[in-house]
Amino acid sequence: MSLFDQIRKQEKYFYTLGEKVVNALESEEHLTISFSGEETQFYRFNKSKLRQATNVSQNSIELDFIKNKRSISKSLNLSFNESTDLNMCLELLKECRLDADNLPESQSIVLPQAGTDSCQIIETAAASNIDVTAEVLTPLQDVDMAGIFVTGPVSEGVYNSKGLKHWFTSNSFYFDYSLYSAKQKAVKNCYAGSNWETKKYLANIETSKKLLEKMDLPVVDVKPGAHRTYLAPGAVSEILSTMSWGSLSMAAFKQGYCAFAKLKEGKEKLSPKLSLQENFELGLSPKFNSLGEVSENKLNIIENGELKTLLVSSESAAEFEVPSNQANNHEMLRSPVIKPGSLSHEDILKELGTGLYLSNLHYLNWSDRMSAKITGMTRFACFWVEDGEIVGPIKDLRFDESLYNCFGSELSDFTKESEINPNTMTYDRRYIGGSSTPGALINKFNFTL
Amino acid sequence: MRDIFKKLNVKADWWGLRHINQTQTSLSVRDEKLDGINKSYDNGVMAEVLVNGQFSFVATNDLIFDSIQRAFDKAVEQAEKNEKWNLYKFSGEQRPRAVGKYSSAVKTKFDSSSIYEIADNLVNATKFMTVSGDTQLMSRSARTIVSETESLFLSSNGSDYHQNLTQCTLDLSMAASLAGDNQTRSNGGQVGQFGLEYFNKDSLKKQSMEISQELAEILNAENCPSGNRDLMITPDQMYLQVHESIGHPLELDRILGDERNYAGWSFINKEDFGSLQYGSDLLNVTFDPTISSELASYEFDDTGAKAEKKYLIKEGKLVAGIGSLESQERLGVDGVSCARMQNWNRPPIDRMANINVEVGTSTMDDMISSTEKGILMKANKSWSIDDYRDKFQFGCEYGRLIENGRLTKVVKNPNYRGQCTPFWKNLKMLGDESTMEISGSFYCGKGEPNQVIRVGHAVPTALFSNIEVFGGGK
Repeated sequence: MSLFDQIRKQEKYFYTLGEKVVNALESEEHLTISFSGEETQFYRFNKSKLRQATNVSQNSIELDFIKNKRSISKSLNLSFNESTDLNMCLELLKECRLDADNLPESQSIVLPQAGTDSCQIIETAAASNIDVTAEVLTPLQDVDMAGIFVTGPVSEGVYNSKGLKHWFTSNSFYFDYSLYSAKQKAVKNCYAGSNWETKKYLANIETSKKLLEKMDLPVVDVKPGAHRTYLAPGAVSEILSTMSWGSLSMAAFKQGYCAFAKLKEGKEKLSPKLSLQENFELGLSPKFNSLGEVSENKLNIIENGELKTLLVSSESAAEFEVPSNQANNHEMLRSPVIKPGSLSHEDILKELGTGLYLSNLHYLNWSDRMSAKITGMTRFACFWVEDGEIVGPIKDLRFDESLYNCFGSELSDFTKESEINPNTMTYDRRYIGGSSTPGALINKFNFTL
Repeated sequence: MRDIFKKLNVKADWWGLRHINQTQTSLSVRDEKLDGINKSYDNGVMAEVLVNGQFSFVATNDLIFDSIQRAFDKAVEQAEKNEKWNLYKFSGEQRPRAVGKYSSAVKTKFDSSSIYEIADNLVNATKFMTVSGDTQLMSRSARTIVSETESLFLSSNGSDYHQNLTQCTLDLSMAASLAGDNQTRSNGGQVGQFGLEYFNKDSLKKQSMEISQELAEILNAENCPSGNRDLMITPDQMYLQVHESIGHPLELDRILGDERNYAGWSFINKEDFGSLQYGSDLLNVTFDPTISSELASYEFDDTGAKAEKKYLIKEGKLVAGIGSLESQERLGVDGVSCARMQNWNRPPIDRMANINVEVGTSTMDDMISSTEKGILMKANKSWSIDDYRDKFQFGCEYGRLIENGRLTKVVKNPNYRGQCTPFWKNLKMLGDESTMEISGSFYCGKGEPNQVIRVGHAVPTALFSNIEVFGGGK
């Protein structure tokens, strides 16, 4: 049986199981069941050799049960043995009922809704047709590389007691890696896709190797202070990930934790050059959330510096009496795109003039949420530039800067070109999704240590 | 599972099977109502083989014999196929025989109705989070995770290690607004191997009232001043300072470069062990998985290495690293029993367990009275450190100035920054037993594929001289 035949069989099995569990519901009980599955091959590398190879096959479902103004979730692994899985689900239903009789009332209740079904199975080969270790490692034997190669299908599904059905499968790979010079200076890159192409891979690592040569220039000791700074798309992506963590959530705003509270209240401004969308046309993540709600293809969040909406889940909508925009329950960005600007890639160094060119940032965190201030470190290929010429790599610097400055009054421009940043998180399971970000030229960016 | 293991036919130099069955309940209460409850039943196995010096891992949640046999077959095939690219040829001594049992020493075990009692107590706790006057209450939260993990490790060289861990978190926090400024205050997050006894109604009420009082203080406080002064940090901040600037840099797999692409490297080199003066001679740091209520206590690690207390830093000098038997062999440096896996679906890597700072001899009063110009900071709210684990910045929820030997005014948004060894060399006084608390983190992230692990830190209050501190604002 082919991989995708097997996945279609899983989809059918999930709906059949779901229907049986829903049939066991009693009056005034409601249920949404979500599926999460993967068959992932991990290769972990160090010094351009294989450190650990791990294969993970895991499938689970979550039951979100509603009764008596109580909302209760239970999850378990799915074995694809019908009697085993059904019996366990029915046991969980019993537990849910008991919980609903004994737990306090929930903050908000969102009942399952009917809707239009969807099924998206992206039938690509990923890296299934290559010998991964040989293909990846052979051209890297002349350089010190550390990284991870991840490949295989990931599926998500939803079925609810109104009969709504959604399924999404993607089969993709990524090679997230860094190369190291003899002086222990590094360049970071990622080659990702749905179908492995050797030519593209070789071009990707060639670009990294060329950049690594520049890391052997003498190190420049840049003093802390405010510097004109170019943030490459990877660095902008790191800032965007931090923004997703509580600055754009309606629940965070109402509960006092929102980093963009002052923006929402009209007390602070962002640059008119900043526009941020949720854009599911990127095709990296499903449009449905864990409740089975389907988002619009595009949702303007920040338009020309103005906050158009926060992310609002149906739970927040019910609790705070505001309209939902079908955000997921954590109200985090799923498929964000920052609109490109007018700065040409070839002109970056010239436009930067004298200052810092930062490829990547590391370990970002809010240092003062009320001021939308983020601290973090420079990482990997970061250079000091003078009069449009790279002078040399820098010693890592700590920054501490407000988004109202770097994406506000001090934002010079974004680049015309954007890069896709696939989500490479693998905590508990393999994540899907990603973002699209341009580079950003900042007039003054504050470094502290 | 023992019967399945006996029947397996594995063509490997060594093989091991780890079965992990974890039941975890996450309960969240906000503003006296249920904000979410999720109970997960996670049950799977990791098949591990050693073939021609290469360890190879295959994980599945399908627990019938045929699937587990297939997992071992796949693990062997994976190792054989990739032998040419092997980073290091292991001998098999990195998987010693481990036989025994370990259970968390909880006083009152959880049963099926315990969560209802906990929920009632958490609702009650949020009732006692209050504000007064013009202050606008934004949210009152109480959260817990109760995690019960049963694991069994069987191996071809006779290991049979059964473990039952009960690990919990308890977080109380509230947010309020005054004159356009939002502030939060929490109980600092409590973690450990404890039972139902920890969710005592009166204790929760007391904690809620304390954080209400201190939230009111910081809402009415001035911003933390900038400049250098002595810094005193309580265990709810000290634990993370230890975690980030001692625990992580000492991990041998970082020094070996395994983590360079994700979590990062270390400023420590192999040659530093036995010679580097890491901190002042007051600093004694141990790896100690033997303290029963601490989060990461166990008898054997996930490769079968016996867990024992060991000094990592003795009188300020670096003496050993946080490295498994694999890393110790690869680097040639002394380590500890710290090969740990997050769950059945991830391989073991070098992790902290309980990384503790031994207590000093000073009382809180001793430290305060000896300080001319200083600041007390409590409860972490922001953290960041570079990929070599050197340049750090931390923010806390609550600050109070120390002037001429006395605690004076409360300040909001207190932060400090520094570099690792200069900071620890500035350790001036260390609190005695009365200042010590058992703390830790439920979410220490590292590894490719990513893993979170639960880490304990038993630490006293500490006083550091001449640290750069600053407040909030853009």
